[in-house]
Amino acid sequence: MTATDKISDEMLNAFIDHELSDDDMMQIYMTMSKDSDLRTRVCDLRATRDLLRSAYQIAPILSQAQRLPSRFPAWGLAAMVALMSAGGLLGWLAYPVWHPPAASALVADVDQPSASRVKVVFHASRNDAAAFEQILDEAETLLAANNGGGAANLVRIVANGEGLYLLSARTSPFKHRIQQLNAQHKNHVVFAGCSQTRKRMKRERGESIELLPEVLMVNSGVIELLELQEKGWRYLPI
Amino acid sequence: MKNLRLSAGLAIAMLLALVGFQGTAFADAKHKLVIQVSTDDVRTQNIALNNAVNLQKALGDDIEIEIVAYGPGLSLLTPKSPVSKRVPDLALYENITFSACGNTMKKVSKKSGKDVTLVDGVKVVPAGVIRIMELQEQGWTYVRP
Repeated sequence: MTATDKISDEMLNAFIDHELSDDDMMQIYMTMSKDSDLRTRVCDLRATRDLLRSAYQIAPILSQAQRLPSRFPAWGLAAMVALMSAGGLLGWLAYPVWHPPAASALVADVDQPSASRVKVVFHASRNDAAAFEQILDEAETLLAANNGGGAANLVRIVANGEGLYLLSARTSPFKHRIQQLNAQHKNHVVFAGCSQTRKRMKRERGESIELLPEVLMVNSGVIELLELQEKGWRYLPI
Repeated sequence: MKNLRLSAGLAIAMLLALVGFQGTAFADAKHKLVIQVSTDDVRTQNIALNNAVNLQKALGDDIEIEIVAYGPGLSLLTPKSPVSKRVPDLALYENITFSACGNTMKKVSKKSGKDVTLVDGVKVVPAGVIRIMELQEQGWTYVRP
């Protein structure tokens, strides 16, 4: 039995929709980095989801408009609208409470690793080795704090645009460090490359970039940054 | 019958309240992203616009994007940068907004002695950095290419 068999489609779908816990997400990322079958499955599921999404964008609007009047009596509609308004108002009022503040003190968290964990996504969009080295240094500091027990700090490093060269098997000046970081902090760090960038470079420059074996390919780097921030990750660009 | 009429009236009132509450278009977009442009590097400015275009393609009405330009990045929104040619067309998307930093504009016009001309479809905010901060405080995510 390979690792791929153990992960169900339901699990992968939840993974694609970012609905799993951070630990489960990380687990699947780790398995994916070693298992090309699993990567293919995730790609296929993601494509199916995208197709479904685009198909349903048009369909439900039409069918709802036709069905609603005949199926729901006026009071039902009134109740529905009332509930919606109340819900909207409630959500609006509750929003500041449940939404994590964007700018909070990262340093304070690092000083007390056991108190609360830090989730940081670094963004490399330029081929700037000095800046990337700084990212690796900061990542290392965050990850080194994990040895103290308690909740672990999580780090993700997303590269797109020219930044992709920093994760390229041929051109990256940090092959060794990336390999080392990945091996040392397997469950807490992920290097991700943008496949949109890779496709564009192939199309526009005829360049095919082979990424380091430790690097995970994500469909869109920017969407990855967006979704992680929505889940409470701190964003640090170079 | 009276009850029915009352609930119909109530329904319309609620509906109006709901529409009014949602206010500006796309206030309820699922994702909100502010893109910072603070450099006059043409390549970076192009990437910022490419990011916006790709996101708009991938997420459609599910995303609202605001591109905030300040400092040397203001050139993206003036005829000074070749990239600014792309801006008016992109600004036609209902869910893409361009914001120019008022502070930077003041500084530039003081130095050059001329008013700053912005390309079509750009609005002015008092201060670019404060704008980014405010949007983040309102739950917007943030990317700096």
